[in-house]
Amino acid sequence: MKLIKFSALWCPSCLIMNGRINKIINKYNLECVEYDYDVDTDKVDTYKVGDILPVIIIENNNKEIIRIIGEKSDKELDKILEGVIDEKN
Amino acid sequence: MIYLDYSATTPVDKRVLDTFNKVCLEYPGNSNSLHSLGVKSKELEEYVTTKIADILKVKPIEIIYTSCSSESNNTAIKGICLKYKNRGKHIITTSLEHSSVIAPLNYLTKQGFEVDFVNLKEDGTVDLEHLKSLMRDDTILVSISYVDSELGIVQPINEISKIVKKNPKTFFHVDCTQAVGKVNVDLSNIDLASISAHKIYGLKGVALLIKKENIVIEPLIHGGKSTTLYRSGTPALPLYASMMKALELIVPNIDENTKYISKLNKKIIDKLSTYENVYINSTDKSVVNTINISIKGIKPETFLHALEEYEIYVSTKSACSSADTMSNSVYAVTKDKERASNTIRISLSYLTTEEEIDKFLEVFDKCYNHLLLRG
Repeated sequence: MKLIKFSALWCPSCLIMNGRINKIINKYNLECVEYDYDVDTDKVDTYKVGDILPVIIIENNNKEIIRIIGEKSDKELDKILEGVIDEKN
Repeated sequence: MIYLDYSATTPVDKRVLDTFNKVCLEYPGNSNSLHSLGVKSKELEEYVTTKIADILKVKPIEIIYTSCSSESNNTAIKGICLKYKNRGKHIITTSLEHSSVIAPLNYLTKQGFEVDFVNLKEDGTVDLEHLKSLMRDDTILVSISYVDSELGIVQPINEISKIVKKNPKTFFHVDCTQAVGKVNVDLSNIDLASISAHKIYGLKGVALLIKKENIVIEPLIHGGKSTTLYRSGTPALPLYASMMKALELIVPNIDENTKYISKLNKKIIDKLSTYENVYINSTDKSVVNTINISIKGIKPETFLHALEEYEIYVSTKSACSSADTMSNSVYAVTKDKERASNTIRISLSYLTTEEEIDKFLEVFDKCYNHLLLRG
């Protein structure tokens, strides 16, 4: 399973979310791919990233299974991912 | 033309430009040269630096000239963190900060630093109790803007400083870019402060980092002593002199300007509050110069361009953040994504006239009704 992260260097919510996203990566043993909102504009278009950052997309066999947009607490993230993906896959 | 984007930048005061031109023409020497032309420039540089220090009530030795506030913010933040990383790697900031504060912090997290964001109260000021709870033994930096660029919230800097200074290992950096010229800035309890000329009717290309005398930082530009060890490069004397002039002209008039602008502010807020879809995001802690609003149902870019048709210029949010994304500052205070995605900033000056505001309100009404009707 792969976690794709879109963030920007100037974005406070992205900075707040960095640690929380790392927890998810470790908890669910996910491969992580990071894209910069200002640099990787082709990927921003391809993945239809909107105007709220950060955006996390979790894919299984290149198929999107969930998208999380904007700032979420650890609890909210746990709730969103509960039942969607298994710990350590 | 009605310019209402003074928080993005201000038009240069002719007297500031005259000072710049005069120094360009009459002081050609490099102030680090040993010959008489250099000595003449050095004498002016010392005079200018002393004058700036007097206006800001700091010491001349505490002034570092930079090219812009983004450079000042980067120099302060990275300079402290790289110099004192052995003391700790914890930093505290807020969601109201300019991108030139957030971006270096983001960079530092990749070097192992940890950043916490202090909560804001409903009026946008820092929650002091939360700040107390975030302070740790390994906190080496707290970076908070005196006045933020989008909402114009004035932070209780002296109260914050008291909390920060309880830990002798923690440095306090304050981005004063939007504060100088708008409020009477007190730098006495601040370790590092960023100040820019172009926000106070000065020239683009010059700014200051005030660094208290006893603090050592790692420079971003290594190149030996120029005006200071902390920022190498040939001294840009005409720009320094123009900065002195800009400060000299604006600082003594802050109270009078505030009194005048507050009348314009009230007129705008009173009128805009009557519209059903208009939300005032600025709070009673905002500077009178900055009015941040959201219009639900109308895209901010569409509204901005509609006003532009009448030669009225406002901004959708801070000119330095990405144009396509929602305002983190407005979201941090309102917790409303729709409002944060639809912000418009109207920023005023002592140069703004009542007639301009009347015209703006008349055009606002026209654009609002037309665009809402169009859906």
